[in-house]
Amino acid sequence: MLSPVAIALLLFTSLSLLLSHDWRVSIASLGLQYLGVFMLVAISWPVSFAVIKLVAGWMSASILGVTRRSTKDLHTGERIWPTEWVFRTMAASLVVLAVFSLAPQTRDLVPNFNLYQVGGGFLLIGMGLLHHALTKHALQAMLGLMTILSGFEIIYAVVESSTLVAGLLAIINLGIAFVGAYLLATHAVEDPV
Amino acid sequence: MSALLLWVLIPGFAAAILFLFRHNRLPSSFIGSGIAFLLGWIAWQVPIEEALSLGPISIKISETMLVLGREFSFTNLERPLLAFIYFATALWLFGSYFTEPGDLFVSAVLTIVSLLVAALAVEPFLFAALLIEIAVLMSIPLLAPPRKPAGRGVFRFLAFQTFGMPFILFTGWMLAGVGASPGNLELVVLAGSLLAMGFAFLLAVFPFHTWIPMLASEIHPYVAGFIFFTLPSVISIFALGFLDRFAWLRETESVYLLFRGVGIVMVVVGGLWAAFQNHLGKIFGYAVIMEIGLSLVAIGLGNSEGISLYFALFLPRLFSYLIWVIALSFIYRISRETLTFSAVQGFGLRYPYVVVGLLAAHFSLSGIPLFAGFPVRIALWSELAQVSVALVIWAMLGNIALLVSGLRTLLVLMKSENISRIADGMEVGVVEYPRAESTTTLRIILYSLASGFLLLIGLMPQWFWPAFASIPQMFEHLGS
Repeated sequence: MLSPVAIALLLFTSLSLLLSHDWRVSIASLGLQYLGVFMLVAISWPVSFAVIKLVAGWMSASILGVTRRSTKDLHTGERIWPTEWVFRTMAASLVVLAVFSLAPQTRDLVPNFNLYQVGGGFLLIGMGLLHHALTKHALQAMLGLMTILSGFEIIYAVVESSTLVAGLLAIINLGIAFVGAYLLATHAVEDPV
Repeated sequence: MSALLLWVLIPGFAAAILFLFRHNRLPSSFIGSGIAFLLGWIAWQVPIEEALSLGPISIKISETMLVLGREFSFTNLERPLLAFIYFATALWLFGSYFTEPGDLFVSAVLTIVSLLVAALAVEPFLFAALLIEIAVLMSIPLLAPPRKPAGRGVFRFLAFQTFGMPFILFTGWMLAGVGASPGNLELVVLAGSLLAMGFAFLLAVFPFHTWIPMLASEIHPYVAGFIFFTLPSVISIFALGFLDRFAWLRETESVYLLFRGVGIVMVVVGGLWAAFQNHLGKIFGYAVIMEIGLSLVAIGLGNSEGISLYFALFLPRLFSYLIWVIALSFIYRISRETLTFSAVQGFGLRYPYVVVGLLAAHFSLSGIPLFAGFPVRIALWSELAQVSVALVIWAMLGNIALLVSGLRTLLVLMKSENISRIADGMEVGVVEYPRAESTTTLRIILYSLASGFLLLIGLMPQWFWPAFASIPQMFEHLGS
């Protein structure tokens, strides 16, 4: 019942990450995104187990947010209106169309796959790839990477329910956040694509 | 005492302690090197699961240890590989004193190596992908030291290594299904494709190779050399484990065709693009891509001879990389952290011994006769020629292209324009190299010895290959 809500949440947050320039909005979107991830993972896992994803995700978002707050603003300007917004929205819509096309076919491959989980996972992977490819900032690059991993974790949760794997994936999530914080602190600047 | 404690946890603890002394370069690099050498020596000399009497004390290294329900297992068949890994690590750490790659190098290297060794030992194997990813994350402070902004190469490296992990994890699940129903062709193809994609990202297989030259041009050359040697070596051994473990994968001819094809593409691409570079670091990066391609070609031979050649490539590769990046590190420091042709022009006239070392390593990886890389390459091409002469021709084209880049490097480094400008007192476009340092005699001796060693490996490969002959036995099916 909550699955369509989760999908809508993931769509909204991933789009927000892609379009937003403000780091506060990005971090908040990431936090909400992990809520959607939790909702979809909880379809396959017990709630008490699925909350690992939520807690690790929120901790990762907090790490990045706290670090970003204490570093200098490296952005050179706002998003260019309307061309950049239109371009990114159109690119995002292509990703959504691709997900609509691929998700049902993938669901048929494995009986245990839930359409919402596959759709949500592919959505985050596609949007994360797009975000990571279009970014020119360390924080945004890490957010893109974490979005991709979140999408993978939704799909992987269907086939693997090991506690240790979940724990290690949470450690990797936190590790990526720490790496992002480290790179932010060293004034990382990525050249535009 | 368990093998995991000895070869994973102890270097991990040592890394943590050496981190506290990271600002003391001499003790940390020598102690780190000593620890790695000792672990390599133990792997070489001390058998596992046999009691060893040291006077009143009896010590036995146990093969297996359970951690959180998962098994970490080191057998006697894996001891030669462990010995090589730790001896190589000892060399990298020893060289770090002379090359100054940064305060974090020693502790980061020990941490990364211990994680990668754990990745080779863990069962089920899917945890290896997670451990490799953690090792990649631990390497980021090494690639982007404090107070120095990270370049695009660091982000590209992190992204591609992270992309590879999900494919390996998913394959782990799918392979269980393939094992249960190997006749399901669709599942077999899907599992194989996912596995290929995962290793394509992790091993920088073309077209996912761009992070290598980017990193090579952005970071300290010695750090680049360590990462380019260690990560692909361990990951490719991990990939061999898949071939050894799954009969349906091992007995599929198209798998070896894929390895050969992709390997040759990387050899050609690496060599050709190296020939057109104007940056010493990028030339090294493309040489690394060629080496990865050679390893894939060796695996793609599909027989035990190919696996033996795969491991025989390790020794010339290790010393070639080491000497190459030691020379590059010296040039990097003298030319104020830039390795472009325009910045290093005429360098060889002031420091010829450095250039000799650099070119010896370069020619070794180009497969020039008498150098360390030649015997293995000639054996590899002989084996490959039995499969396809066309592939050998393409591979030799790649080697010739890498040789051309070496000759261009020689020309630039020995070009006299800047020196004559210095002599004439002209300041425009002049790069003034500092006077020779007081340790020049020592450096001359060390570079000469290093270059001589590369020649020795090339002239007398029979002295060195037997040490690697037993490593393939760690694989139950591939090594037989």
